[in-house]
Amino acid sequence: MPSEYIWTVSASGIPCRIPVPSDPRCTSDVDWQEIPSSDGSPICTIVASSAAAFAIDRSGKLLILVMPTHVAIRKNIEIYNNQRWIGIWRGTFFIDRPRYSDETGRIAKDLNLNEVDPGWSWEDKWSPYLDPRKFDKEGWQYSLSFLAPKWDKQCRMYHLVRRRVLKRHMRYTSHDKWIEMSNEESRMFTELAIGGMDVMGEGETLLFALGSDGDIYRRVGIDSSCPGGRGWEIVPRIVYKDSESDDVTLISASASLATLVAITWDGKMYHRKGITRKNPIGLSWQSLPTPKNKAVICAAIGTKTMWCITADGCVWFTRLEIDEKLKEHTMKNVTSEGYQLVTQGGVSRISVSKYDQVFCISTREQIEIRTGIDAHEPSGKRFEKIVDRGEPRDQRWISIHCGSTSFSQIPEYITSSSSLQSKMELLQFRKADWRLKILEQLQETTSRSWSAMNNASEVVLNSPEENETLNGNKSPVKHIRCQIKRGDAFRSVNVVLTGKTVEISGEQMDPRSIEYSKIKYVQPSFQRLPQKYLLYVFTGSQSEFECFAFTDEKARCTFQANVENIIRESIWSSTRSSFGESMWSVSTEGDVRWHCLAELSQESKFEKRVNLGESRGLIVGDGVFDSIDCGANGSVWAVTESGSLYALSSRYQPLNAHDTVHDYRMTDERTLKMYEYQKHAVFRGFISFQGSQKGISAWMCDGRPCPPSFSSLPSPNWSWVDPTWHLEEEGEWEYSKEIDGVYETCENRNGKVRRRLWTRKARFDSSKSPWCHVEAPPITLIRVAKTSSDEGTINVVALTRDGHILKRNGVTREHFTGTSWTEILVDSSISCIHLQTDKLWCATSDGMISSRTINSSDTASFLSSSDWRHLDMDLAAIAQYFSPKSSTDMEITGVSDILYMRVGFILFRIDTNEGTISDAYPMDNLQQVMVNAQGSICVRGTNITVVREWRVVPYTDRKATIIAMRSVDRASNMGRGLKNIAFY
Amino acid sequence: MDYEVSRKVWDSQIPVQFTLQAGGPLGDPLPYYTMLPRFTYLALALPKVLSSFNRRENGETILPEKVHLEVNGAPVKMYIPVGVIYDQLNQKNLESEGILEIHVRTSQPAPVDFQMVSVDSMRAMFCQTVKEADYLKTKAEVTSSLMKEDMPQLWQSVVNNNFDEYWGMIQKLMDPKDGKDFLHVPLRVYVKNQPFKQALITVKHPDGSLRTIGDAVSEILQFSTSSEASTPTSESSGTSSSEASSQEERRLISHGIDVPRHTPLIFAAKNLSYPDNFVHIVIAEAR
Repeated sequence: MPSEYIWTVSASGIPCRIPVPSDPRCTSDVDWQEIPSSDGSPICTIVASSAAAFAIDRSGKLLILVMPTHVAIRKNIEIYNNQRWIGIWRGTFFIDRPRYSDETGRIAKDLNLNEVDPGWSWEDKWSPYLDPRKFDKEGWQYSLSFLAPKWDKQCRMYHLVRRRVLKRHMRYTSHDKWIEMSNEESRMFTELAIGGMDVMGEGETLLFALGSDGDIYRRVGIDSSCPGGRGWEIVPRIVYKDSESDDVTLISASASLATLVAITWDGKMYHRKGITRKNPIGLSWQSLPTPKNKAVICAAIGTKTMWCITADGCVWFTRLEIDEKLKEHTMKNVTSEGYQLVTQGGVSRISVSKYDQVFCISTREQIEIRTGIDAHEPSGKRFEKIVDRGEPRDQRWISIHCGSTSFSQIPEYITSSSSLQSKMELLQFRKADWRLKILEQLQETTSRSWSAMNNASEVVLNSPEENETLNGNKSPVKHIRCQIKRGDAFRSVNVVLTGKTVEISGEQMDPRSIEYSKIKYVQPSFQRLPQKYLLYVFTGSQSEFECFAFTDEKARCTFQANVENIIRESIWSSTRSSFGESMWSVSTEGDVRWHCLAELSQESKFEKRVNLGESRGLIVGDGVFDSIDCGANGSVWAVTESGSLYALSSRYQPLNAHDTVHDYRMTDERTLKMYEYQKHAVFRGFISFQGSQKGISAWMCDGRPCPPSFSSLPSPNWSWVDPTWHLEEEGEWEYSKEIDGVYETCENRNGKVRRRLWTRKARFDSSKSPWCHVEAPPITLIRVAKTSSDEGTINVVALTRDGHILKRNGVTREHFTGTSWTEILVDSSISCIHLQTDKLWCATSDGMISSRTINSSDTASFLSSSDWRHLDMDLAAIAQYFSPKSSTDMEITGVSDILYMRVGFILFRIDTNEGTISDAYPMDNLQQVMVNAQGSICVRGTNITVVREWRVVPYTDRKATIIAMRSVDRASNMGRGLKNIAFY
Repeated sequence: MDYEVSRKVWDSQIPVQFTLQAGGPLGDPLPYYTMLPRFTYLALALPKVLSSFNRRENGETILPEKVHLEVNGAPVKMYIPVGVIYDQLNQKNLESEGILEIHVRTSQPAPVDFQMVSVDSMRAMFCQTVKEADYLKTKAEVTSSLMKEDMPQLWQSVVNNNFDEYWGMIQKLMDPKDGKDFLHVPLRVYVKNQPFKQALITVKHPDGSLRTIGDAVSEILQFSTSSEASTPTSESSGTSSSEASSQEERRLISHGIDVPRHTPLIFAAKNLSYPDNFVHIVIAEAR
């Protein structure tokens, strides 16, 4: 289900949505979908956010359509069941709280109340809340009185009252259907405006409606758990120059910022000032100049531009200024002469998206798009008709809204039907037997031709260029000029790749020679001060490295390709399959690297495991990620910093990656943070400084010095989103006594140093990536099963940012992205998960561990929460190490019944069969713990350690154990510069 | 378009031997061996061959206009891509590729059925063929909308063996922007000792399913045998039963491979075509 649509209404009043996925191959659903209202009443106008669409029908009723979500829209209803002991447990006295009440006991509740709001339905029956840590087996907890602060899970002699929590879930079930919005005052509406997605919180939007009484209303209480909102709030009428201006005919809002524009019957424009998240009703109306003071009939606002249509049919556009601090349009630069005429006539209705892309309805009732809109040319080039797909019955349109789309460039397939078609065709043909046969035969004929040539007895190859192609692969010697890092300085050197060794020579340094077989892996890096593109080449088993520096990215890439070819050859000659044991890692700069851990030994011709430190690795190109996991059949999934999920194409083979072309699109946005430091000097106050102290310079980015307000980016795939750096939190300084100490904001400005934070957004965009985007809510953690089921499906489970668990269905080698999501319902927010082949473990932030089996054939959209089994063990020994911070810094993993739990830098072993928890096992800088396909626990701290065997000694009372590592495979130094790893 | 297949097709080459029988006091010079890309034309290779022969001592300079080319004792059609010439000769034994032996003769006069093609006229013929192919595919919508520089660029990519340039151009021709299906597929079928056959073949069957290359070839051969006079169209009847038996034995050779009969025609049109935009299929008897 692609989450982005353009919504439109046909001339006969049928709403229709146009899917606009960023990469249609990952969703394969681009047909237009007509969604008529349930009673068939014709729709007049439509607006949409990413969560819901709102429409007004001819009679003025307001309808809502809630989009399907991966994570269920649910409400948890709790009722307290209270009882008192009078020889037996029974209902409460008249002076006590009611038998069924809320937690305070003041409000009585009725267990038999079954009413739900429209669109919602009950998910289950009332059932007691069972948490073995708080309640007994039946869910009761006991106390002296209802007002006592302490409740006990065991009944003792002195306990007089008991209570239990009955819970029941309500779920929104009317997805993808138009239903009438609750409307107490039976108001009728004529126009809608929606926006403010970037100003309001997650799931919240600003929805304004123009009532038939001429008033503008705002919908209150729209959030992710209540897409329809709760009630209406009136926006004051337009008062201008002390006289009430009446009869608003049209309203419009910016999708991104909180800007509302109203157009009156006489074509004047007004905008509402001061709308913020806290004050969504705004402060006052202000007049907005119209183009050449003509009457306006339609207006649409994006982020940086506003488009208007005047009564004479002319289309105008003007740029808008944004107050970055207040996050609102200033509207000060809009003058009646400042509008540019775009076209005369031809357009009847217009809608502008968040990234200022323009969609419109032409006067011939066709949907058109303005092409060529970008930052340099905000007015675009021309109007073009868009390609319709599927069979919309009506080909004429009256209304359009594109506010919920978020592409910054128009995807090619919107205006060109062939690009998608031929890509689809390719996809469909890719696996066909005849295609593989053709490829195989082509390969054979080529080699036959060459051998025929070579066999010709008197081969006299006359032309020199043919000679070159013959030996093209083997022409070995390459000369490269670059710099090499010695200490903190860079020296110019000549590098020669001779075919067997890398020879480095230069002035003022000893020549160095590295044998090809010694080169293990490379790591590209980017240094801002002085600006250099670096390539670390790791050699030998102890992770020795040479650091080469280049002044441009292209030269670095060429060199990297050369060195990686050398590594590839080495792996080629020694590996049987690339599905064997492997490690995938993500560097701090986001590059993914594959390490081969199974090579053929030269002597025995058997595959043997390579020690981690001596393994060879190759970079997986074109992607920036935060975390990664790998599983059965070579499936690899990774998550970006912003929480987007990607699956590595199954056509990607690390060993021949260099000659396959991938064309998936990978995009990510990252906010770069730059700290400005100042030191206090006598008489001069705080001033900037030269040089660095304790590794900190006047300007720092990602923990490294950088030039002030730099504008360089690590590779051509990166571009800036924000035009300039801006200060966070109104530029407030934080003070500290030590330059590397703790910084705090303080009133009286004491401290020796201070710093402030600048931010600027950058965007990564590659269209040659082997990573295919998988549509999902923001994800923090992905887990891929290490073994596949009998049918070949691989379980993939993701944990969303807000603590929900999703299971990806239908992931196989061929369909590596899977087909759909199933939400595994949970009763509380989850902070980490662990996936064994068909068993899923999860832990909440307060340390409750639960497990359930998962079945790859369950592909319903929800799996009930009642299948969870709580781990009935006292985890107090672990819980004492919890801190507010550790709730996010926690992991579980394990093999069969043995779980390993990491809390901060401490590791615990939990034996769920014996019911024992080990003593704390602290490790240096422990960051990550996971299990590989062979069932060994792998630990990433300062080093990366694979523990083949643990020594477990039980205490005499058998309630706890002591653990130690016994047989390990350790790689030193490799853990440096990595932020996430996964083992297969 | 399928990059992987197109690239492999582009990269496939054939071994060629040129021999010169000039007579003269010093005997014949050593043969000239070279690997030629399948898509190239003899007209393009000839100047290099002759310059090699001209390097021999004491010989008269051989001018391109004065020679004629023979393969297996028969004159060569120089305007056919080298790969097609090779496939026609080498159809018997696909497994053991032989060397294409081309005899350069200087005896005058040239045989009547030999036509010398210079590089310039080759370019003109090439462009003409591309236009013809495009007329079949899109009623020449693409070529008429192409820039003036574009057509020479396609030719240059063939001359210089520059795949990247070719890839940029061929996509415009094969995946036209408006996304309409091809009207007809430019397909030429070569049967031994006969002129090539061509017919109006649509991409899909009338019922909307994809036509395979096997179907297309059978239909072309059927038309050519049944009615030479009237212009054949593919909308007419399907294959008869007697036809079905014979098509089992037939092999479709292009680029030196046995093209699987059930390859969709549209795929072949886009990815197995020569740079002149035609799919050239050589019919060989089954082994």
